[in-house]
Amino acid sequence: MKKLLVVAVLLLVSACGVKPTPVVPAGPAPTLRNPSNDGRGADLILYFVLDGRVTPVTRSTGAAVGVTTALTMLLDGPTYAEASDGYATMLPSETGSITLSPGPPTVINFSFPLKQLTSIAINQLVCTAFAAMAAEGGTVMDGAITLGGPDVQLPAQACQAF
Amino acid sequence: MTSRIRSWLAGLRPRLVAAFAVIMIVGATAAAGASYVSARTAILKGFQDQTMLKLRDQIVTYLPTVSLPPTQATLDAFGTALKSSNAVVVYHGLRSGSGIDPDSVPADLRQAVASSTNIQFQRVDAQGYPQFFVGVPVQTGTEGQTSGIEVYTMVSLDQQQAAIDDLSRTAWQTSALALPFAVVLALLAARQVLRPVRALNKAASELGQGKLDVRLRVKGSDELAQLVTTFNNTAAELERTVGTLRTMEADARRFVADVSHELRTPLAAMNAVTDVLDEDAEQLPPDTAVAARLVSAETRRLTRLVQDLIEISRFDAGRAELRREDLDVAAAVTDSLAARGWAPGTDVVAELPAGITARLDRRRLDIVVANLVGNALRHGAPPVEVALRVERGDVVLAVTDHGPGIPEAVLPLVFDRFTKADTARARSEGSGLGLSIARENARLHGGDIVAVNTGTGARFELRLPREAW
Amino acid sequence: MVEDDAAVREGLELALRRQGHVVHTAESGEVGIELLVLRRPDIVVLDLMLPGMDGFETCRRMRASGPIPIVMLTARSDDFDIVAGLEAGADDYVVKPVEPRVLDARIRAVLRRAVSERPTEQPESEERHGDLVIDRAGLEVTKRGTPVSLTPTELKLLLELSRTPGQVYSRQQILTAVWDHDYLGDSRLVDACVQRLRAKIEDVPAKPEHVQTVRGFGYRFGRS
Repeated sequence: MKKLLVVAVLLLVSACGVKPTPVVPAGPAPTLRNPSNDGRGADLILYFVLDGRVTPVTRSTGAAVGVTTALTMLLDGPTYAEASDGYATMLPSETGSITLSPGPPTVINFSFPLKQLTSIAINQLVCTAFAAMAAEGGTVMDGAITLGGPDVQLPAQACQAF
Repeated sequence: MTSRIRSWLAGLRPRLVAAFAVIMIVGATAAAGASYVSARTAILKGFQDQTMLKLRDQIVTYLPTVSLPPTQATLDAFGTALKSSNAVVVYHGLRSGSGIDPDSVPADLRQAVASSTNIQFQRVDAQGYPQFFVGVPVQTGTEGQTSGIEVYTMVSLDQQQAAIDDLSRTAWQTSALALPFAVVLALLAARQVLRPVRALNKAASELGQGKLDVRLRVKGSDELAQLVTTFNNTAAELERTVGTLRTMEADARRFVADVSHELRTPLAAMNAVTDVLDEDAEQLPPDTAVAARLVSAETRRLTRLVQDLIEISRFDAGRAELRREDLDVAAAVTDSLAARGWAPGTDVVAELPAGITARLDRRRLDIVVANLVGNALRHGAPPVEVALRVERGDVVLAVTDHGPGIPEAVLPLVFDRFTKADTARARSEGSGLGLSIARENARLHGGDIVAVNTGTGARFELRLPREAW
Repeated sequence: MVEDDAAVREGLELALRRQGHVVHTAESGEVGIELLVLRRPDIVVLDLMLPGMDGFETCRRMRASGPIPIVMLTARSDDFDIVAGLEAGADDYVVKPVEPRVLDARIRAVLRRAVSERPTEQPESEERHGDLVIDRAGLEVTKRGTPVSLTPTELKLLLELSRTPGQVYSRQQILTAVWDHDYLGDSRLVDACVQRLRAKIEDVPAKPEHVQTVRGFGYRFGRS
C-alpha cells in the first residue's frame, strides 16, 4: 500500500513540465511546383491577395508563359471564380506595356506609377515575376528584381511573401 | 501516552478522516492532474501547430519562386522570405544567410527530414530550456522525392513552459485546498455516525448499571436507527423480565414471611407445653417418654427455625430497624458470653480490652456474638479465642477456633442461607440461617463479617463502624 | 389470660398452672374485662391480636379500671405494636412463641413490683418533693393531696428514681432495677413507662419537673 503511494507520487511529479520528444512526423511536406530539369512547368502562378496576405494562385495553362505575360495576367486581376474564393488584388487594373530587361539586375518597367502601390502590391508583382522566371527554368538572379515605373525606380526587390 | 494515542488513532473518527482525506486528495489530484495534462497538451500542441503551419504557409507561398538547383542567392532570398519564422534554408552544404544555425538542429531530426516526405518536429531539453525544432523537406513534383532543400526553424518554449508551470502549481494548490475541506467533511460525517453510537454506548452502560428504563429516540431509518430500535426492544424485554423476576422474588419472600407468621401461633401453643412434656416424661411408659421428649426437642428446634426465618424475612423486606446505643463493647460481649454460660477461662479465651466504645444495637451484637462463638464451639474446637480491637474507625471482633477449619469449597458460600458445613450431617443444632442473620446484622450497622481459614482452624472477623454515618 | 387461639390458651394455661399460678382464661377482650371484674386477678396476660375489641382497646380499658399489672403477648416485635401496647398501659411484653419459663419470670417480676418496698427503719416515712408526697412504706403517692393511681411498674419506677434525686440513671440501669430484665432488656419499656408516669404526676407532662430526661444519659428525679 505504501509502495503504491510512493510510486503514484513520483509519477505525478515526473509528469509535470514540458517533456522532450523523439522526432515526430507532422503532416506532408510542401512540394516544389516546378521540378528541375523537367522542362518548363505547365502552371501559371499569380500572386493575389487573400485575407490581406500575398498568396499564390495556380492557373493551368497550355504552355509556359513568359514573365511579362504572367505580369500582364496578374494585372488583369483574379478571375470570377478566384474572386469569389476571396482572392483580390491591390494592383491597378490598367496595364499598359511591360518591358523586361534581363541580366543582373533584372529590370521590369511598368507604365503606371509605382509610388502609390502598397508593399503588398509590390510583392504581388515581384513574387509573380520570380515564379515566372523560375518556371522558365531560370534561377532568380541575385535574388532581386528592380521594378521601374514612370515615377520611380525601385531597386532590389525580393519576394517577401510575408 | 502512546498507547492512548494509538487507541485514539484506531477509533472511528481518525479512520473516517483519513479515508475522506485520501479519497478527496486522490479525486482532486486526479481531476486537477487530468485538466493539467490536457491543458498542457493543448498549449503545446496549439503553439507547435501554429508555428508549423505558419512556416509551411510561408514556404508554400514562396516555393513557386524557387527552382532547382538553388543558388546561394536563391537560398538567401528564400531565407529572407522566411525571416519572420527565423528559419534557415539548407541545400546540401549551402545555407541561407539568415535564420538559426543548422548545426543546432538535432542530428536525428536532420536525418529524419532528409529521408522523409513529412514535416518533422522534435522537442529538446537544452539545459533546462525546452526548444521546439521543425524540419520541412521540400519535395519535388509528385514523385515524393526530396529536393534536397530543407527548411529548419527553432522556437523556444520558455513561455509555454512558464505557463505550464503555472498550471501545475495551480493544480497542486487546488489539490492542497481540497484537504481541509476533506477533513471538515470527514469530521462532520464522523460526528453524524458517532453521536448515535456514543448515545448507544451511554445507554447500554446505564442499562448495565441497573437503570432498566433507559430508552433512546429513534431518528431516521438507517442501520443505526435499526440498532437503536433493537436496543430499545431489548431494554424493554429486560425491564419486563427483571420486573417479573423481582415480583416473583418479592412474592416468594412475602410468602416465606407470611408462612412464618402463621406458624407462630401453633408453635406458641406447642412451646407452652414442651416443659410439661419434658418434666413428666419419666412418668410415661418408655416409648411414650421417648416420643414426648422427641416432640419437645423438635418443637423447640422448629421454633428457633421459625424465629430465624422471621428475622431473615425482616431483613429481606428492608424492615429491620437498628436501635443504637452507646456501649462499652468489651462489657457487652462479656455479658453475651456470660449469659450463655461461656465464661472466659474454660473453652473460651477472651481478649477484650475495656474502654472501646461504640454506638451499636446491643441486641443485634449479642445475636452475632452468640452465633459466632456458638459455631466456633460446635463446628470448630476449643480453645476459641475472642479478640477485640480497634482499626481506624471500626471495632473488630475476631472469633478464632482450632478446629478443622472450613472446607475450601464451602468457604465462599458459608454466609449463604441454609449452607451447612458438613453435608454428611443433614441436621445440626442450628437452623442454617445463623451466619446469614449474623452478616445481615453486621451489614445493617454498615459493617461486615468475613471468614478465613487460619491453617489451624477458622476465623470469623466482625467489623462494625464505631459511629453511625 | 386473654388469648383467642384455643391451642395457645390451653398450652399456656397448662404451663402456668404447673408453675404454680391460678389461671382464668378469656377468649376475647370483652370476656376478659368481665373476668377482671369478676375474679380480681393479680395480673393479666393479654394477647394483642384479639377478635372484636382489639388488644390495645382492651388494655386501655383494663388500665383505666385500676392499677392491675398487665403483660402483653405479642406476635410481632415491631416498634409500632410494642410502643402502642406500652402506651395503652402494659407493664411489660413477651413475644410469641414464648417459653413458659420466660413468661413465668416476667409475671413474677411484675408481681414483685407490686409489693416491692418493705417498711424499713423508718415506718410512716413520707417524702415531700414539691407537690408530690411519696409514702414508701404505704406505697402511696399523692399530688397536692389527691392520691395518684399508679401501676406497680410506674410506682416502682418513681420510687427508684426518687430514692436519689438528682442522680442520673441510664435506661439500662432502670431496666435492671425496675423490670428485673437481663442485660438485653428493651429500653422502650422505660420510655413508655416514663411517659405514662409523667402524664399522671406532672402538671405539664411536656415540661416535667419531677421525672426529667437527661439527653444522651437517661433520666433523673428532679431536686426540689
